[in-house]
Amino acid sequence: MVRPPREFREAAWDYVCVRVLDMKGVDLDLYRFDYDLTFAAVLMNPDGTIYHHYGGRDTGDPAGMLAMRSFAQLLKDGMETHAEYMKNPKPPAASSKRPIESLAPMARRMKAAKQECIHCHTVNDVEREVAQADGSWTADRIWKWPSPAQIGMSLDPEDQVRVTEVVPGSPLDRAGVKKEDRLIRLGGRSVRSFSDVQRVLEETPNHAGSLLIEFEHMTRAEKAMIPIEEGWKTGTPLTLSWRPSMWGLRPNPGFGGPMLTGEEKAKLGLPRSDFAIRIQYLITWGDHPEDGRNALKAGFKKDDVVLSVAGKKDFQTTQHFQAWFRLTQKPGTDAEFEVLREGKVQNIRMKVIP
Amino acid sequence: MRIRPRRAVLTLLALLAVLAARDADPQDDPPFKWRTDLETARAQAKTEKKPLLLVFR
Repeated sequence: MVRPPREFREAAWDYVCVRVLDMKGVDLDLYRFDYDLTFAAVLMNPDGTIYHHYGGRDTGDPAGMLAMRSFAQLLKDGMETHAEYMKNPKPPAASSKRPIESLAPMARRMKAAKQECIHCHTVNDVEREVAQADGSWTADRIWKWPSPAQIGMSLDPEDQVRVTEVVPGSPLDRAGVKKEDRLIRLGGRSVRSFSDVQRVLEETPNHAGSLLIEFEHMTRAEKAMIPIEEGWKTGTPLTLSWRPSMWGLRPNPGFGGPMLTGEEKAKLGLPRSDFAIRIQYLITWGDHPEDGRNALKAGFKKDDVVLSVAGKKDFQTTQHFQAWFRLTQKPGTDAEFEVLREGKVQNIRMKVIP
Repeated sequence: MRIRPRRAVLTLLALLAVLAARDADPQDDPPFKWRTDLETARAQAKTEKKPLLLVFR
């Protein structure tokens, strides 16, 4: 096993460090974090009180907000949070353990096929299925752990309390927060990282209201209210596209495949900047084989190159196209595709199924 | 060039010794340890009054 860097080892020395590679047996009420991440750190008291989070990401680079300097700093800050908390501990109320395998959709999957390892993102899929089954699911629940960008905030990956950008006209701008200000608290909670901000945003309702921000401006502590509008968490297909839990949403096109490389596009006579994905598979297996059959019925074939849908071709990635389809296409309507097959452009119309 | 097995082995051992010395770290004694059992680690943290660092991958 690769030994962690010295900077990390020194900062983590006073912690009991645990690596969790399998969500089997993990109490979902106790260990809350952004389950779509491939790396997530939680600093907590053993009584269940969460101090800080680390590891969040935005639409772009998956590791864009990961930096050893900020992680080590958070571990140091976490020791101060721990010392403060231990003066007057307030353990959360004990509840019965809720591991993922106790949820009906997961139990069904485990019965159908042996699960060697349950990935973190499976939690989001299973919790959605539970909510859909009991009627509590609402479409806005897909906007999990909103990025600080949703309120107009950008943070420094190396020093994650430093505001590097405030989008003009954004809620943060209207609150009077400026570039180079330093975060202290948000919604009454101490924030020390990008993920700490996400946690507060996750716990804030998706309705009009306001959020208290405490920050340092030119070494002076200030307070302000961030005005937030109804539905403020709602993102775009692009902001949803990186999340593995996006794939389980419906409707879906029933096929998938990679973007063509610039070279592949050039060989086909397509501009390098154009959107083009090659159909690598039609989903005729799993829980919803009807999706792939629907695409086959419409006329799609493996190796077709999809050039546009509904005249739209500005997708940045294949995941962007997939997220767009799920968020915008309505069951019962027709979706029009432009497809390149054996050198000829064809139009395919497909009925969108629920 | 003729390779002399004895000299090659000795050179390799010397190189490994240099690398081990360079990597030696007094802070890492006892070696840094990741626990893998969440509930055992939680019980240990409770006893030792330490915070937990959980890394989910």
